[in-house]
Parts: sequence; structure tokens; C-alpha cells
Amino acid sequence: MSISMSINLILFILSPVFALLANGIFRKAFARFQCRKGPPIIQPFYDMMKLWKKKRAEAEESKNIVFYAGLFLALFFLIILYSIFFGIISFDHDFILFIYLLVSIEVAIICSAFASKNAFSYVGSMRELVLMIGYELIIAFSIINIMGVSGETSIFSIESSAISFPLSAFLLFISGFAVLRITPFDTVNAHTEISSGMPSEYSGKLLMMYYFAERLKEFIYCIFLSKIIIGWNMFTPIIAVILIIIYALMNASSARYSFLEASKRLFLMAIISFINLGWIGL
Amino acid sequence: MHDLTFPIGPQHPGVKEPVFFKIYLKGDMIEDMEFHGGYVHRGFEKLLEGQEVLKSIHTAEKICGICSYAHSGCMTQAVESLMKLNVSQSVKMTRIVIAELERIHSHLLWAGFLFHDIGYETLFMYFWKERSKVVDLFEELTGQRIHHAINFIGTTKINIPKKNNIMQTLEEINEKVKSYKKEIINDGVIKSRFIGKGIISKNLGEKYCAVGPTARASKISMDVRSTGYEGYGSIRFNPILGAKGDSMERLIVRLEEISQSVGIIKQALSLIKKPAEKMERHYIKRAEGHARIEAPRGELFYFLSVKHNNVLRAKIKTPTLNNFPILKPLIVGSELGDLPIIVASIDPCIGCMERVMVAKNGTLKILSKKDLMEACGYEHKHEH
Repeated sequence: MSISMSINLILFILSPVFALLANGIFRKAFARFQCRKGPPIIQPFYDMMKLWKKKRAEAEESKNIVFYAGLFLALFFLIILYSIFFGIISFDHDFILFIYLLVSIEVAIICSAFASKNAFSYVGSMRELVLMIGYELIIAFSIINIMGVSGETSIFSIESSAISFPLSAFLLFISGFAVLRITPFDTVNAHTEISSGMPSEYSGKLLMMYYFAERLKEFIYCIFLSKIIIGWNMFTPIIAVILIIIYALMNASSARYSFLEASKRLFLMAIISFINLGWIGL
Repeated sequence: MHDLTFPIGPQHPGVKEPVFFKIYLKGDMIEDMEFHGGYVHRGFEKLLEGQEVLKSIHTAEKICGICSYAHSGCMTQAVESLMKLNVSQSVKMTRIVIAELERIHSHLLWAGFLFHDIGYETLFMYFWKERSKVVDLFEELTGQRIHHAINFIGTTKINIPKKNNIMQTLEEINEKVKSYKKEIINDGVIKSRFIGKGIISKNLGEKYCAVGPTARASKISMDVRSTGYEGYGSIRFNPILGAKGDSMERLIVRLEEISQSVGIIKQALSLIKKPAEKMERHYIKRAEGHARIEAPRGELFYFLSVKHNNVLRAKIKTPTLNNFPILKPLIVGSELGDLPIIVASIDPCIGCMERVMVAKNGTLKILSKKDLMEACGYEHKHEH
């Protein structure tokens, strides 16, 4: 096994720890922008431990196989996603699978939320389903554009920087607001409207799994964006932390769009990202 | 035909008090709604009955945790009106200072909640940071942060010292609020959430008898302070009126009222010439009186009937009782996401508003004035 492969394997194993720490940094930065002290950076670990110990309480209607399987499936897809990203599994044109997996994680969670038969989860899933069409299209078109411009065939081997594809990098940054559920595109888990939406019916270990899947998804997106901006080198984690702080700042300095407004804006950006494909002559 | 019946309340982050909206959704649009109340009825009117007048002033203060002084002030004014008691200018001005401080406190607290509803947690924190300065001022002046208990019949418990930091603190708050207002007016996302949402036209407001800033935002000149009660006649001010009557207008009117209240407090402080005098206890054999004041949320009305120094009947009409029914025409046809904004924009206080109607055997009966008086324990020919 080569040294780079060993490092990637270590990073792959430690990535859940980094994902939770990244969330801790996000929460700390968010609190600081609001003139609050905020929780300690390791607070997400405490949260996970607390939820692990909590008893589950679900409605009788929610107890079905899809409700439980959705979360396990989402975590399984995340493991494959991390494997591709850190080069554990690597093959030509793996970016297609990368896009598919990003969609599949969301779809698995949406199916689970739908199966819960909870009104808040139902509305949250509907919102996520509509917004997902917008932001996943942006991500898909932008990744295809980046692969085309850089001439690479694998996500793992991208070495070009954002200077080569500025608009795609910018669109990926914007769609990050929807992926990370950050204002103004956090209508999916708007707690004052739909009581946080999809996770409404989860409790105890299931809620822990949901939050864990969300944290893993957020972290991989930030690392991916960082890799797109400066390539894979020693500065990639630093850029990822800066991105997290920028997202925290944006979360602190904006209100939430209404669902219709958010959908309109994401679809408009999807159209822009489609037009952007012209850069590579498609 | 609706797609989904959606419950908002009685415990929901979008509504801050126990109230239940049954929403019929078509997609993300509200097709119809039902309102169910009765979750926070505390029976204050009944509680006041039989209490000694002096004690009832402090009981009334507990009706609301935000506009507690307004209730105590209105009760005191009702007692003073039935006693036909003249109150000194200094006492009146002291009461105005506390009442306007409470208005600033209430509007800041409300603004924070409104931004919390649209996910702008930072402005929520910033508004509440300013609000805590007002609460600190209350503590310095009255010794209490929420329930001040300063009112006695014909006087106040406190004297505002000549050397105080009221104006200095209020000027700081005013500057901050002005800067926040500037940001709010120029923020695209906030504009998209508030402008054109929950429009109360002047006609609609008048039809539903809207009161307070909710009415004033719809260009209805409805401010009880203009009647000059409790020394407001000596203060120069004009009611702040909006034009469009939407949620943005209601926000702007309230923010401007904060600046207006700072001006009123400045005038009132300059009119306090001597300390409040001590008053002796009075005996009220039989009398009825009423008072109406401009509470932070709008007109607050108290009717009081006293017999042998005890409250015989107290009738309280809070501003939310007027403003709440207007919600249905505003909510039906709007987006689900707009519901918390529209509800919050009228600044409801469910705890103050809740009343209970007991329908015996499910039968309805029209009562005459005579029947009502008998039911309330009145004599047919009583002294006025």
C-alpha cells in the first residue's frame, strides 16, 4: 500500500470525527457572529452521545420498514461517497456515481420521512424534493463542467483550481446553502414553519443517525468544494474551515426565503449552470 | 379540496403561546383554517372578583408578562376614575416614563420574535440585547425587571431620581434601532418576506376594529394617548401612521414608535418637578368606573365595579381581542411559510386574550340587560 493511499485510508476512517468537529466550528462561528459565546467545538459529540442514550418514541403509524431503512441506506450511501472521494474506490468516470450518490442520500432520507406519516415530515419532504431538483441539477451540471474543463475522469484526481472554472465553483458554493440548510435556502428545516420538517418523527438513536448523516453530508460537501477551489493539497482542509466560517457568517446575516422564492432562485441558477455547460462545448 | 390537514399548535415554534391553528393545505398554500383556543385560560376576571382594590392592582399586573405595567396602570386609572381622584403631575409623568419604557421593551421583544420567525437569528439576538438594557433600567428604577408593582391609588411607589441614566441608555438603544431599521429596509430577503404579506386595508382594519400599531400601520389614526389621558395632554407627539398595512409597515411603525417613546420619555422627565406624595387609604362604598389606555399592543380597556372596597366585577378587554379575528382573512390564501409572520405581525398575546364561554346544555339564549345584571349580581336600582 502506498503512503498516499495509507493517508487517504486514515482520513477516510477519521472523517466522521472531522465532520462533527466541522459542525462544532460552524456553530461556534455562528454564535460569535451573533455576539454569543456559543457551545464548545466538541458539542456535536456530546449531542450524539446524548441522543444515543435517549429512548425512542415513535407513533404506531411510523413503525414501518421504509421509515427505519431510509436512514441506514443514507448512511450506506455516505460511506460509498466518502470511499470515492478519498480514493478508496476509484475508477474512471466515478463523478457520475458521485452525483448519483448525492441524490440517493437525500432520496433515502425523504423516503424515510414520507414513511413516518407525520404532517411536518411530509411537508418537509415535499419541500426537499422540489428544492433538490434545483440544487442537485446545479451540482450535476457544475461537476460535468468541471470534469470537462479539467479533462479528468475521476473526482479523486481533480488537480485544477477554481480559476479554470470560476462560474461552476461559484454555483457549487451557492448550492451549498441548500445542501447545508443555510439561510436563505433553509426552508426544508424551517422550525418556525414546519417544526424542522423531515426529522420531526425521529427520536433517540434514529435522530442521532439523521444528524450524523447530515453532518457527514455537510462535511463532504465542504471538502469537495475546497478541493474544487484549490485542488487536493495541504491547504484543502484550511480552505474547508474557511468555507465553513463563511457559511456560518451567511447563516447569521440573512433571513430565510419563502419556499416559492427559494425554489424560483434555485431553478434560475440551475438554468445558469446548464448554460454554463457551453464552456466545454456540450 | 385540500391535500393535507396541517396542525400548528398548541405547541409549535411558530406560535409562541398555546394556540391551535388547524390548517388545510393545498400544496404549500393555505386553503382554509380553523382557530381553536382555550389552552391558556387563567380566569383573571373571576380572580379579581372579591379582592380588595389595592390588592387587585397588583393582581392585574400579573395578567401579562410583557405589558404588565399597562394592566396595572389601567386598573389604577379605573379606580381613580371611579373615586374621581386628582393625581399630581409628577405622578402622572412618572407613570408615563414607565409606560413608555414598557412600550420600547415590548416592541423590541416583538421585533426579535418576528425575525426569529423568518430565520434571522442574529437580528433576534441584537433586538433582545437592546431589550435587556430596558429591563436593566426597569430594575434600577423600580427594583423589579418584569412586574414593577409601582402603582398605588393616586400615587406611585417610586420617585425617579434627578440624576439618572435613562436618556443616555435610551439614546443608545434609539441609535441601534435606527441602524437596524436601515438594514431591514435595504435587505432583499426581508423585503421578500414582509412586503405585501398580510395586508390589512384601512377598510378591513376598521371593519374588525383593529387597534394599536396594527391599526396605525393601516393608516387608521387610533391612538388612545391622543385623548390626553394620564398627563399625555402635556406631551407633544403625533401618532405614527403607515400606509400599506402589510407586515413590513407594521414592523416599521413599531420601530418608529420606539424613537417616539424616547421623545415622550424625555418630555415626561423634564416635567417631573417634585416627588410623589404619600396617599392615605380610601374607602369606596359603591362605585363603577372605567379606563382605557394605549398599551404597547393597542387599546386596553378596564371596567371596574367596586363595593365596600372590594372588586365586584372587573371586565378587561385586551388589544389582542380586537386584532386576533382579523387573522383569518389574512392567512387564508397565503403560503404556509407566511403564517408565523402574519400571526406575529399583529403582536398577539394569547394569555391576555383567552376568555371562556360556558354554554349550559348546549342551548343558546339571548339575555336582556336585566338578565345580565342579575347574572352578574347587580341590584336593579343601585347607586352610581
